[in-house]
Amino acid sequence: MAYPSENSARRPQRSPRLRFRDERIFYYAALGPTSIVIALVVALPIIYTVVLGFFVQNTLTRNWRFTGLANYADILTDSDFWFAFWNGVVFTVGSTVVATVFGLAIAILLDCNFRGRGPLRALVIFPYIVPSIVVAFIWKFIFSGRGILNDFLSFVGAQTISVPWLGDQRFAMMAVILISAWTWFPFAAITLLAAIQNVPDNIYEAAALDGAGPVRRFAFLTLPLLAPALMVVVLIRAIWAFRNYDMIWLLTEGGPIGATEVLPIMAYKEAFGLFRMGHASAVAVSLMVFVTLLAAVHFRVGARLRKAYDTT
Amino acid sequence: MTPVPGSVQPHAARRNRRRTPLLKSVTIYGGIVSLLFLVLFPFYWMVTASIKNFREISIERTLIPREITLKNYADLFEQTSILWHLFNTAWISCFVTVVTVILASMSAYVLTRFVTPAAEWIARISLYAYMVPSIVLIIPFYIGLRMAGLVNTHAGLILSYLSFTLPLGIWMMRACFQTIPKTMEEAAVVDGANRFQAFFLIAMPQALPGVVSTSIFVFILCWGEYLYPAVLINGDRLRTITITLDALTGGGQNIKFGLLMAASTVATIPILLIFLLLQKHLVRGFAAGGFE
Repeated sequence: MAYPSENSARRPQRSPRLRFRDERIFYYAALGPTSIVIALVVALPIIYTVVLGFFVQNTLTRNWRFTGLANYADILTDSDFWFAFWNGVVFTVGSTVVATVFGLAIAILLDCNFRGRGPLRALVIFPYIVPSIVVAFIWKFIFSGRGILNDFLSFVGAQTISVPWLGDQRFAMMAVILISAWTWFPFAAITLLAAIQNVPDNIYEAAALDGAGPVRRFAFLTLPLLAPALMVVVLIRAIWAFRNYDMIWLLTEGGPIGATEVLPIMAYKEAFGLFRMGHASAVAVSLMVFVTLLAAVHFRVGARLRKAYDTT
Repeated sequence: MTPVPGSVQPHAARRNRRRTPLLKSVTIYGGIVSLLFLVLFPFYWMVTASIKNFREISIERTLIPREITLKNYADLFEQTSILWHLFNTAWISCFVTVVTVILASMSAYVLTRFVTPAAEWIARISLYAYMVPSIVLIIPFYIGLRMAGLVNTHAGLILSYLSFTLPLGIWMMRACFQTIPKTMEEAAVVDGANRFQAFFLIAMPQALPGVVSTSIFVFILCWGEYLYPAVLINGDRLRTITITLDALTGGGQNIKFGLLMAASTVATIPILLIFLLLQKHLVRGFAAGGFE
């Protein structure tokens, strides 16, 4: 292992070297415990799941039998797997788009000058920090067959029969997407607000002088300038939506009739419903591969954006 | 939008803005009202439902409760050990927060001050770890903790929480230490300080706002965590608050929404307190890109 401060070749600009007497002790004391914990609770479990994917294992009987790629062959030829995958894509795209568009609108609103802007900015965060189970319950209540949403819709005359939104195969996915977007939009709003505030005002003033109306200023100034931040928001949100387990589980448990079953839920049911740990691991690892691909795009795009815009 | 000093002809811009004041303010105030409604109404509905009687919740569905009752809360405290579960959740969350902040700030400090392959790997793994689906980790946790005799214990639960809090903490604290200049530590080394002193006496005080933001976010995450306690804990006494709520649905068709909303309100109160008391740090932590 290289000694901590022997990096002068890589970082030639740090010429006045900081050298403490106890550099080495501190280095191991500070990084050691974290490395052990990370290895124990992150690295080791990931390896375990990957290995388990090649075995048949039942928690009840506890025997392990090597099956090679049989688990993967099983799940990849299983139409339920691809159905769940597709549901995940729909959920991810839907909730990301709704949360981002809505968040962008809120960000633009919060950038305007009005009294009480500060408290409102803080308030927007609230749906994001409430426990997901509380969010799920509130919206389950609002969206239920005898809930306030149906009352409202029949009040304005949009429908005559009440629909159990989360219990209806046709609407469940839509409802889940909207609810997730409701709890996730603050992330988009606050991140995009920070990006908007980084845009100097005089650009807008110059555009206004040149006769650009608000719509054109938005389309030709705001959006292009926000593109990097939007990209980051969309990718992070997409990663989180695709790996999300609890929101959908708490709202519908993947139902009705699998209408909202996504890969994390499928893995959960395989593991703790059917106790087929090998299968569950194979599903989980496939999910991890998809998320890793998204993460790779995220890092790649992030690095490229940093280079192109030369900001943090 | 305040005009930047020295910007191009502020008078002209101001005149331009004055041309459509009505339309603009109508849009803004319309936006504010809809936003307020959208954010607040679900919580209003939760709190009012918790103090309504069954008729008003399920049959009449009154917008403003006509008759206030505390029966839902009485039922809640009678049927569940919610106070005990709140205590469980609070101490687990506090403990995980303290451990996370200590480990994360030390290692994040190293990540910003030392450049070694190991440090880079920790940085990379922790960022990736935060994106790894928790469903990938839960199976090994379940099997591993059972073998270690830690399933259905708070110790096992705390270990599992560290799998997501520690990467987040490292990431947030790293961003924090990156903004702290090294010059004071360099001065300290000249004065004969050692690295521990430089870290605890010079770097940490400057990193305090970051420590506060990180603690808040870690605590909030722990408070609302659902998957790990759902799988790793069974038995009433060890439950966390999310499992209390989950158990109330009973899996049946007749969900008692009054009871459920009362429990949801109770579970939200600590988060609301954090929100009200530590708003500034919360917004800053958000702005620092900490959360996700």
